Amino acid sequence: MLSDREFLELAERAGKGEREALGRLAGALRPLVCRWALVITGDPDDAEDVAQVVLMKTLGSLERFDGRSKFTSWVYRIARNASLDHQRRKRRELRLMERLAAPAALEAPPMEDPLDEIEMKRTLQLIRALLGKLSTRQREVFDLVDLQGLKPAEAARLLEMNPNTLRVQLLRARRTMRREMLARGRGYGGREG
Amino acid sequence: MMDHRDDWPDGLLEADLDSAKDMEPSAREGAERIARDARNMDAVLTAMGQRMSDKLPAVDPGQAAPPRRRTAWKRWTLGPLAAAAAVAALILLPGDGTEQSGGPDTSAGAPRTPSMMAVMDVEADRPFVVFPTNNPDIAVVWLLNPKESE
Repeated sequence: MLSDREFLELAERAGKGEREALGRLAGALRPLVCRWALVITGDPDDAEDVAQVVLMKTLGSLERFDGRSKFTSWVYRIARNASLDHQRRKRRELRLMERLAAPAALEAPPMEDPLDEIEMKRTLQLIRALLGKLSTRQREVFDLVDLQGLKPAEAARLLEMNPNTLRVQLLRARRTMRREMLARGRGYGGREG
Repeated sequence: MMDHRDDWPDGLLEADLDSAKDMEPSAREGAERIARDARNMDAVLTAMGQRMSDKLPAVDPGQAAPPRRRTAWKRWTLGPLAAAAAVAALILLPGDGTEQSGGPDTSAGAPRTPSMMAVMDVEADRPFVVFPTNNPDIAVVWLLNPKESE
């Protein structure tokens, strides 16, 4: 992943009309935007739709980036707004329940260093829990802080949330996820019974 | 000072595992499992993001915001409405009003086209034109835009 400085340089060059920079910027942003959209919408199909819109919006409005925040933070906010708009339109909750009922909705992605099959299955179950059992806000907070490693203050700024509210949401998300993790640990690994 | 992960109960994430050395074995195992799960989830979500991005069509750098369906819809519907200012409705008029009795007309010898009525929301004072046709059961009604009728 590019550093924020590299993103910024590419964005500046792209903003001046350098097509090569614009192409590289799009390529670097795509996986990030897809992941964010997936976590926020909770639905892989919705996420693809949203990601495409976000990329178009971002690349089409580079001149609006004022440099007061990190470039990726700015893109994250675009992704977040687009995802929430999309959710409102599609009554995501109903679709999500339908998708969760279908075991093939989340497929194991190919990875360079693949987790073994049991581990992958377990991880996918946890991701289903993440997408299905947490609220949108809790998913975002959990992903940003506990999976991507942002500090709560950074995540609060990104999400435009009161830091204390963020901590409450994080605590709730952790409780749910911890319960899922430990529950699914039983019978796996042998010693926990 | 509280670490931002301090409130993760007995499950410590990867970076904090050293501090779990003194925990009892089962609690430590739980902490390690949670740390591993978090690491795996991050890896899988990243891989999913990558895979989804590979499926997305390439964004044309020269292209601005995507066309919005609403704009297309407006162009398709409002344009002709404003220009032609008319909506045509074909109404199959009943010859003897038998549909109002609720049953089919069985008194006549020849078979008849089933009667039906177009249902539309039309303002009571909207101007209209009726075109009779050579079929006494059929008339064409044009509902006009008030501006055009002036």
